[in-house]
Amino acid sequence: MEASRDWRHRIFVVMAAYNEAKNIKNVIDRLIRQFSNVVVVDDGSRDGTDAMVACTNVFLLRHITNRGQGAALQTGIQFALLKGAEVIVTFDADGQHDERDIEALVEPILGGECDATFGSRFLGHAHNIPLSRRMILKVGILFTWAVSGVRVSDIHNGLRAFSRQAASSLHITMDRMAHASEMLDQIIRLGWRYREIPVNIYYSRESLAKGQSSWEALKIASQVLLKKII
Amino acid sequence: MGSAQDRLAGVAQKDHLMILFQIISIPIIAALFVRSILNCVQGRQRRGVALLGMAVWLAAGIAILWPEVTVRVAAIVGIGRGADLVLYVFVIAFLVSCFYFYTKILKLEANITELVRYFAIQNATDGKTETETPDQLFGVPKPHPVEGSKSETSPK
Repeated sequence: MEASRDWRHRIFVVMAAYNEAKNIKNVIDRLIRQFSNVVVVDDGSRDGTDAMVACTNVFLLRHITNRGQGAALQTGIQFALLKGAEVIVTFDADGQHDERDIEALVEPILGGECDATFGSRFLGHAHNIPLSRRMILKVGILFTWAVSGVRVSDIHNGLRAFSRQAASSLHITMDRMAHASEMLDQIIRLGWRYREIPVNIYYSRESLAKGQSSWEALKIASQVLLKKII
Repeated sequence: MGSAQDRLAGVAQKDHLMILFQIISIPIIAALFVRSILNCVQGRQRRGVALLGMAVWLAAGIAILWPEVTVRVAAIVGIGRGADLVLYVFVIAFLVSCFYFYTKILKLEANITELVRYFAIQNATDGKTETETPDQLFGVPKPHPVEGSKSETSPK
Protein backbone atom coordinates (compact mmCIF):
# COMPACT_ATOMS: atom_id res chain seq x y z
CA MET A 1 0.00 0.00 0.00
CA GLU A 2 1.41 3.38 -1.02
CA ALA A 3 -0.23 5.31 1.80
CA SER A 4 1.89 5.36 4.97
CA ARG A 5 4.20 2.44 5.53
CA ASP A 6 3.10 2.03 9.11
CA TRP A 7 -0.57 1.62 8.16
CA ARG A 8 -0.74 -1.77 9.87
CA HIS A 9 -0.11 -0.13 13.24
CA ARG A 10 -3.13 2.10 12.74
CA ILE A 11 -5.42 -0.92 12.39
CA PHE A 12 -7.13 -2.74 15.25
CA VAL A 13 -8.48 -6.17 14.36
CA VAL A 14 -11.42 -7.12 16.59
CA MET A 15 -12.61 -10.71 16.94
CA ALA A 16 -15.56 -12.05 18.91
CA ALA A 17 -14.88 -15.62 20.00
CA TYR A 18 -17.23 -18.16 21.47
CA ASN A 19 -16.01 -21.69 22.12
CA GLU A 20 -13.25 -21.42 19.53
CA ALA A 21 -10.45 -23.07 21.53
CA LYS A 22 -9.62 -25.34 18.56
CA ASN A 23 -9.22 -22.57 15.99
CA ILE A 24 -8.45 -19.35 17.82
CA LYS A 25 -4.68 -19.79 18.24
CA ASN A 26 -4.21 -20.52 14.56
CA VAL A 27 -6.27 -17.47 13.57
CA ILE A 28 -4.37 -15.24 16.01
CA ASP A 29 -1.00 -16.52 14.80
CA ARG A 30 -1.93 -15.60 11.23
CA LEU A 31 -3.09 -12.14 12.25
CA ILE A 32 -0.22 -11.14 14.53
CA ARG A 33 2.27 -11.81 11.72
CA GLN A 34 0.80 -8.71 10.08
CA PHE A 35 -1.00 -6.70 12.77
CA SER A 36 0.22 -5.65 16.17
CA ASN A 37 -3.18 -4.63 17.50
CA VAL A 38 -5.46 -7.63 17.75
CA VAL A 39 -8.39 -7.61 20.19
CA VAL A 40 -10.16 -10.83 21.10
CA VAL A 41 -13.41 -10.67 23.04
CA ASP A 42 -14.14 -14.01 24.62
CA ASP A 43 -17.91 -14.14 24.80
CA GLY A 44 -18.34 -16.38 27.82
CA SER A 45 -16.73 -19.46 26.28
CA ARG A 46 -16.77 -22.70 28.25
CA ASP A 47 -14.08 -24.58 26.35
CA GLY A 48 -10.97 -22.72 27.47
CA THR A 49 -10.89 -20.21 24.59
CA ASP A 50 -9.73 -17.49 26.97
CA ALA A 51 -6.82 -19.62 28.19
CA MET A 52 -5.73 -20.22 24.58
CA VAL A 53 -5.86 -16.48 23.83
CA ALA A 54 -4.10 -15.53 27.08
CA CYS A 55 -1.00 -17.41 25.84
CA THR A 56 -0.70 -15.04 22.88
CA ASN A 57 0.35 -11.43 22.61
CA VAL A 58 -3.07 -9.92 21.92
CA PHE A 59 -5.62 -7.92 23.89
CA LEU A 60 -8.08 -10.22 25.64
CA LEU A 61 -11.43 -9.11 27.00
CA ARG A 62 -13.78 -11.55 28.66
CA HIS A 63 -17.54 -11.44 28.84
CA ILE A 64 -18.38 -13.26 32.06
CA THR A 65 -21.52 -14.57 30.43
CA ASN A 66 -22.38 -15.20 26.80
CA ARG A 67 -24.03 -12.13 25.29
CA GLY A 68 -23.80 -12.81 21.55
CA GLN A 69 -21.53 -11.89 18.68
CA GLY A 70 -23.03 -8.43 18.25
CA ALA A 71 -22.44 -7.58 21.90
CA ALA A 72 -18.88 -8.94 21.80
CA LEU A 73 -18.03 -6.94 18.69
CA GLN A 74 -19.38 -3.74 20.26
CA THR A 75 -17.21 -4.42 23.32
CA GLY A 76 -14.16 -4.94 21.12
CA ILE A 77 -14.90 -1.84 19.05
CA GLN A 78 -15.33 0.30 22.15
CA PHE A 79 -12.05 -0.99 23.55
CA ALA A 80 -10.22 -0.38 20.27
CA LEU A 81 -11.52 3.20 20.23
CA LEU A 82 -10.26 3.70 23.79
CA LYS A 83 -6.85 2.50 22.62
CA GLY A 84 -6.82 5.06 19.82
CA ALA A 85 -7.60 2.89 16.80
CA GLU A 86 -7.81 4.76 13.49
CA VAL A 87 -9.38 1.91 11.59
CA ILE A 88 -11.21 -1.03 13.13
CA VAL A 89 -11.59 -4.34 11.31
CA THR A 90 -14.00 -7.03 12.48
CA PHE A 91 -12.76 -10.54 11.74
CA ASP A 92 -14.32 -13.92 12.48
CA ALA A 93 -12.59 -16.17 14.99
CA ASP A 94 -13.52 -19.44 13.29
CA GLY A 95 -10.87 -19.24 10.56
CA GLN A 96 -13.29 -18.52 7.70
CA HIS A 97 -11.70 -15.21 6.82
CA ASP A 98 -8.45 -14.53 5.03
CA GLU A 99 -6.22 -11.97 6.74
CA ARG A 100 -4.77 -11.07 3.32
CA ASP A 101 -8.13 -9.45 2.48
CA ILE A 102 -7.72 -6.87 5.25
CA GLU A 103 -5.43 -4.67 3.18
CA ALA A 104 -8.06 -4.30 0.44
CA LEU A 105 -10.67 -3.55 3.08
CA VAL A 106 -8.78 -0.75 4.82
CA GLU A 107 -7.14 0.89 1.80
CA PRO A 108 -10.21 2.97 0.78
CA ILE A 109 -10.71 4.08 4.38
CA LEU A 110 -7.10 5.09 4.93
CA GLY A 111 -7.22 6.86 1.57
CA GLY A 112 -10.28 8.85 2.70
CA GLU A 113 -12.48 7.45 -0.06
CA CYS A 114 -15.05 6.00 2.31
CA ASP A 115 -15.83 5.46 5.99
CA ALA A 116 -16.78 1.79 6.03
CA THR A 117 -16.12 -1.25 3.88
CA PHE A 118 -18.04 -4.52 3.90
CA GLY A 119 -16.51 -7.73 2.64
CA SER A 120 -18.55 -9.68 0.10
CA ARG A 121 -18.00 -13.36 -0.60
CA PHE A 122 -20.30 -13.11 -3.60
CA LEU A 123 -18.12 -10.43 -5.19
CA GLY A 124 -15.06 -12.42 -4.14
CA HIS A 125 -15.02 -16.14 -3.59
CA ALA A 126 -16.77 -18.50 -1.14
CA HIS A 127 -14.76 -21.72 -1.05
CA ASN A 128 -16.74 -24.90 -0.35
CA ILE A 129 -19.97 -23.06 0.34
CA PRO A 130 -22.90 -25.49 0.37
CA LEU A 131 -25.85 -24.63 -1.85
CA SER A 132 -28.21 -24.45 1.13
CA ARG A 133 -26.01 -21.88 2.86
CA ARG A 134 -25.76 -19.85 -0.34
CA MET A 135 -29.55 -19.85 -0.65
CA ILE A 136 -30.10 -18.81 2.97
CA LEU A 137 -27.67 -15.92 2.52
CA LYS A 138 -29.32 -14.83 -0.71
CA VAL A 139 -32.73 -14.82 0.98
CA GLY A 140 -31.18 -12.72 3.75
CA ILE A 141 -30.02 -10.20 1.15
CA LEU A 142 -33.53 -9.99 -0.34
CA PHE A 143 -35.01 -9.58 3.12
CA THR A 144 -32.63 -6.72 3.93
CA TRP A 145 -33.53 -5.06 0.65
CA ALA A 146 -37.25 -5.39 1.39
CA VAL A 147 -37.04 -4.17 4.99
CA SER A 148 -34.28 -1.56 4.85
CA GLY A 149 -34.27 -0.61 1.18
CA VAL A 150 -30.54 -1.37 1.09
CA ARG A 151 -29.08 -3.60 -1.57
CA VAL A 152 -25.76 -5.23 -0.74
CA SER A 153 -24.37 -8.45 -2.09
CA ASP A 154 -23.39 -10.00 1.26
CA ILE A 155 -25.06 -8.70 4.42
CA HIS A 156 -23.87 -11.36 6.88
CA ASN A 157 -20.16 -11.21 6.24
CA GLY A 158 -18.19 -10.66 9.43
CA LEU A 159 -15.24 -9.09 7.62
CA ARG A 160 -15.75 -5.32 7.74
CA ALA A 161 -13.75 -2.19 8.39
CA PHE A 162 -14.71 1.17 9.85
CA SER A 163 -12.96 4.48 10.19
CA ARG A 164 -12.61 5.75 13.73
CA GLN A 165 -15.39 8.29 13.19
CA ALA A 166 -17.80 5.73 11.75
CA ALA A 167 -16.98 3.21 14.50
CA SER A 168 -17.53 5.88 17.18
CA SER A 169 -21.03 6.51 15.90
CA LEU A 170 -21.97 2.84 15.90
CA HIS A 171 -24.00 1.49 18.78
CA ILE A 172 -24.88 -2.14 18.30
CA THR A 173 -27.96 -2.98 20.37
CA MET A 174 -28.78 -6.34 18.78
CA ASP A 175 -26.56 -8.64 20.79
CA ARG A 176 -26.96 -11.78 18.70
CA MET A 177 -26.62 -12.44 14.98
CA ALA A 178 -28.97 -9.68 13.81
CA HIS A 179 -26.20 -7.13 14.52
CA ALA A 180 -24.97 -7.40 10.93
CA SER A 181 -28.17 -5.84 9.59
CA GLU A 182 -28.12 -3.25 12.35
CA MET A 183 -24.54 -2.20 11.56
CA LEU A 184 -25.30 -1.64 7.91
CA ASP A 185 -28.52 0.15 8.80
CA GLN A 186 -26.72 2.56 11.12
CA ILE A 187 -23.88 3.24 8.69
CA ILE A 188 -26.36 4.18 5.97
CA ARG A 189 -28.73 6.11 8.23
CA LEU A 190 -25.87 8.20 9.64
CA GLY A 191 -24.68 9.04 6.15
CA TRP A 192 -21.28 7.33 6.22
CA ARG A 193 -19.82 6.41 2.85
CA TYR A 194 -19.46 2.68 2.38
CA ARG A 195 -18.22 0.26 -0.20
CA GLU A 196 -18.27 -3.48 -0.78
CA ILE A 197 -14.96 -5.26 -1.21
CA PRO A 198 -14.47 -8.75 -2.70
CA VAL A 199 -13.13 -11.14 -0.06
CA ASN A 200 -12.54 -14.85 0.35
CA ILE A 201 -14.45 -17.08 2.75
CA TYR A 202 -13.24 -20.61 3.47
CA TYR A 203 -15.83 -23.04 4.81
CA SER A 204 -14.86 -25.96 6.97
CA ARG A 205 -17.01 -28.59 8.66
CA GLU A 206 -16.69 -26.81 12.02
CA SER A 207 -17.53 -23.38 10.66
CA LEU A 208 -20.53 -24.77 8.77
CA ALA A 209 -21.77 -26.45 11.96
CA LYS A 210 -21.58 -23.12 13.77
CA GLY A 211 -22.98 -21.01 10.96
CA GLN A 212 -26.53 -19.91 10.36
CA SER A 213 -29.13 -22.57 9.97
CA SER A 214 -32.56 -21.84 8.49
CA TRP A 215 -33.92 -21.56 12.02
CA GLU A 216 -31.25 -19.02 12.95
CA ALA A 217 -32.00 -17.08 9.76
CA LEU A 218 -35.69 -16.95 10.73
CA LYS A 219 -34.79 -15.73 14.21
CA ILE A 220 -32.63 -12.97 12.76
CA ALA A 221 -35.42 -11.89 10.41
CA SER A 222 -37.96 -11.75 13.25
CA GLN A 223 -35.55 -9.78 15.47
CA VAL A 224 -34.93 -7.25 12.70
CA LEU A 225 -38.68 -6.85 12.09
CA LEU A 226 -39.51 -6.52 15.80
CA LYS A 227 -36.76 -3.93 16.20
CA LYS A 228 -38.40 -1.85 13.47
CA ILE A 229 -41.78 -2.04 15.24
CA ILE A 230 -40.82 -1.69 18.90
CA MET B 1 -93.28 -31.90 31.73
CA GLY B 2 -90.30 -34.18 32.37
CA SER B 3 -88.07 -32.24 30.00
CA ALA B 4 -89.21 -28.90 31.51
CA GLN B 5 -88.34 -30.28 34.93
CA ASP B 6 -84.94 -31.36 33.62
CA ARG B 7 -84.36 -27.90 32.19
CA LEU B 8 -85.31 -26.28 35.47
CA ALA B 9 -82.98 -28.65 37.33
CA GLY B 10 -80.15 -27.75 34.92
CA VAL B 11 -80.69 -24.02 35.42
CA ALA B 12 -80.81 -24.48 39.20
CA GLN B 13 -77.53 -26.43 39.08
CA LYS B 14 -75.91 -23.70 36.98
CA ASP B 15 -77.10 -21.05 39.40
CA HIS B 16 -75.79 -23.11 42.30
CA LEU B 17 -72.34 -23.41 40.67
CA MET B 18 -72.37 -19.71 39.86
CA ILE B 19 -73.12 -18.84 43.49
CA LEU B 20 -70.32 -21.20 44.60
CA PHE B 21 -67.93 -19.52 42.16
CA GLN B 22 -68.97 -16.10 43.46
CA ILE B 23 -68.49 -17.18 47.08
CA ILE B 24 -64.94 -18.35 46.30
CA SER B 25 -63.80 -15.60 43.96
CA ILE B 26 -65.40 -12.43 45.35
CA PRO B 27 -63.44 -12.44 48.66
CA ILE B 28 -60.21 -12.95 46.73
CA ILE B 29 -61.01 -10.15 44.30
CA ALA B 30 -62.11 -7.90 47.16
CA ALA B 31 -58.79 -8.52 48.92
CA LEU B 32 -56.85 -7.72 45.75
CA PHE B 33 -58.92 -4.55 45.28
CA VAL B 34 -58.18 -3.41 48.84
CA ARG B 35 -54.49 -4.20 48.27
CA SER B 36 -54.47 -1.99 45.18
CA ILE B 37 -55.98 0.85 47.23
CA LEU B 38 -53.35 0.41 49.93
CA ASN B 39 -50.55 0.29 47.33
CA CYS B 40 -51.81 3.59 45.93
CA VAL B 41 -52.31 5.30 49.29
CA GLN B 42 -49.01 4.09 50.76
CA GLY B 43 -47.05 4.90 47.61
CA ARG B 44 -45.83 1.31 47.13
CA GLN B 45 -46.84 1.44 43.50
CA ARG B 46 -46.99 4.19 40.94
CA ARG B 47 -50.41 5.87 41.07
CA GLY B 48 -51.28 4.96 37.47
CA VAL B 49 -50.44 1.29 38.00
CA ALA B 50 -52.39 1.11 41.26
CA LEU B 51 -55.42 2.82 39.70
CA LEU B 52 -55.27 0.38 36.78
CA GLY B 53 -55.15 -2.51 39.24
CA MET B 54 -58.20 -1.15 41.11
CA ALA B 55 -60.11 -0.75 37.85
CA VAL B 56 -59.30 -4.33 36.80
CA TRP B 57 -60.38 -5.87 40.12
CA LEU B 58 -63.50 -3.71 40.27
CA ALA B 59 -64.50 -4.72 36.74
CA ALA B 60 -63.82 -8.39 37.53
CA GLY B 61 -65.91 -8.19 40.69
CA ILE B 62 -68.85 -6.55 38.92
CA ALA B 63 -68.72 -9.10 36.08
CA ILE B 64 -68.76 -11.98 38.56
CA LEU B 65 -71.46 -10.59 40.87
CA TRP B 66 -73.71 -9.31 38.08
CA PRO B 67 -72.95 -11.27 34.90
CA GLU B 68 -75.88 -9.57 33.12
CA VAL B 69 -73.85 -6.34 33.14
CA THR B 70 -71.41 -7.88 30.64
CA VAL B 71 -74.37 -8.78 28.43
CA ARG B 72 -75.64 -5.17 28.45
CA VAL B 73 -72.17 -3.72 27.78
CA ALA B 74 -71.62 -6.25 24.97
CA ALA B 75 -74.91 -5.19 23.38
CA ILE B 76 -73.92 -1.51 23.60
CA VAL B 77 -70.62 -2.09 21.81
CA GLY B 78 -72.15 -4.45 19.26
CA ILE B 79 -70.71 -7.75 20.46
CA GLY B 80 -73.05 -10.73 20.61
CA ARG B 81 -72.52 -12.19 24.08
CA GLY B 82 -71.15 -11.04 27.40
CA ALA B 83 -68.69 -13.93 27.38
CA ASP B 84 -67.40 -12.81 23.98
CA LEU B 85 -66.83 -9.30 25.37
CA VAL B 86 -64.84 -10.72 28.27
CA LEU B 87 -62.81 -12.85 25.87
CA TYR B 88 -62.01 -9.95 23.51
CA VAL B 89 -60.99 -7.70 26.40
CA PHE B 90 -58.81 -10.51 27.76
CA VAL B 91 -57.10 -11.05 24.37
CA ILE B 92 -56.33 -7.32 24.00
CA ALA B 93 -55.02 -7.12 27.56
CA PHE B 94 -52.89 -10.21 26.96
CA LEU B 95 -51.32 -8.80 23.78
CA VAL B 96 -50.61 -5.47 25.46
CA SER B 97 -48.98 -7.33 28.36
CA CYS B 98 -46.87 -9.38 25.94
CA PHE B 99 -45.52 -6.24 24.25
CA TYR B 100 -44.91 -4.61 27.63
CA PHE B 101 -42.97 -7.54 29.03
CA TYR B 102 -41.05 -8.08 25.77
CA THR B 103 -39.79 -4.51 25.83
CA LYS B 104 -38.95 -4.90 29.52
CA ILE B 105 -36.93 -8.03 28.75
CA LEU B 106 -35.11 -6.26 25.92
CA LYS B 107 -34.14 -3.43 28.29
CA LEU B 108 -32.97 -5.91 30.92
CA GLU B 109 -30.86 -7.76 28.35
CA ALA B 110 -29.33 -4.46 27.24
CA ASN B 111 -28.50 -3.57 30.85
CA ILE B 112 -26.87 -6.95 31.42
CA THR B 113 -24.79 -6.51 28.27
CA GLU B 114 -23.66 -3.05 29.43
CA LEU B 115 -22.56 -4.47 32.78
CA VAL B 116 -20.73 -7.40 31.19
CA ARG B 117 -19.06 -5.02 28.75
CA TYR B 118 -17.97 -2.69 31.54
CA PHE B 119 -16.28 -5.53 33.43
CA ALA B 120 -14.70 -6.87 30.25
CA ILE B 121 -13.11 -3.52 29.35
CA GLN B 122 -12.03 -2.80 32.92
CA ASN B 123 -10.30 -6.18 33.10
CA ALA B 124 -8.74 -6.27 29.65
CA THR B 125 -5.32 -7.91 29.46
CA ASP B 126 -2.66 -7.69 26.81
CA GLY B 127 -1.00 -11.09 26.89
CA LYS B 128 2.11 -9.76 28.63
CA THR B 129 0.72 -9.96 32.17
CA GLU B 130 -0.46 -13.05 34.04
CA THR B 131 -4.19 -13.48 33.95
CA GLU B 132 -6.76 -15.02 36.18
CA THR B 133 -9.87 -16.85 35.11
CA PRO B 134 -13.14 -14.92 34.75
CA ASP B 135 -14.63 -16.96 37.60
CA GLN B 136 -12.19 -15.27 39.91
CA LEU B 137 -13.54 -11.83 39.07
CA PHE B 138 -15.63 -11.97 42.21
CA GLY B 139 -13.53 -12.29 45.32
CA VAL B 140 -9.99 -12.46 43.90
CA PRO B 141 -7.92 -9.38 42.99
CA LYS B 142 -8.48 -8.56 39.33
CA PRO B 143 -5.67 -8.97 36.78
CA HIS B 144 -3.36 -6.05 36.19
CA PRO B 145 -5.35 -3.76 33.86
CA VAL B 146 -3.86 -2.62 30.57
CA GLU B 147 -2.71 0.98 30.28
CA GLY B 148 -5.33 2.87 28.37
CA SER B 149 -8.22 0.57 29.20
CA LYS B 150 -9.78 3.40 31.22
CA SER B 151 -8.91 6.75 29.76
CA GLU B 152 -5.73 6.90 27.69
CA THR B 153 -6.16 7.19 23.97
CA SER B 154 -2.60 6.86 22.64
CA PRO B 155 -2.19 4.06 20.12
CA LYS B 156 -0.08 0.97 20.93
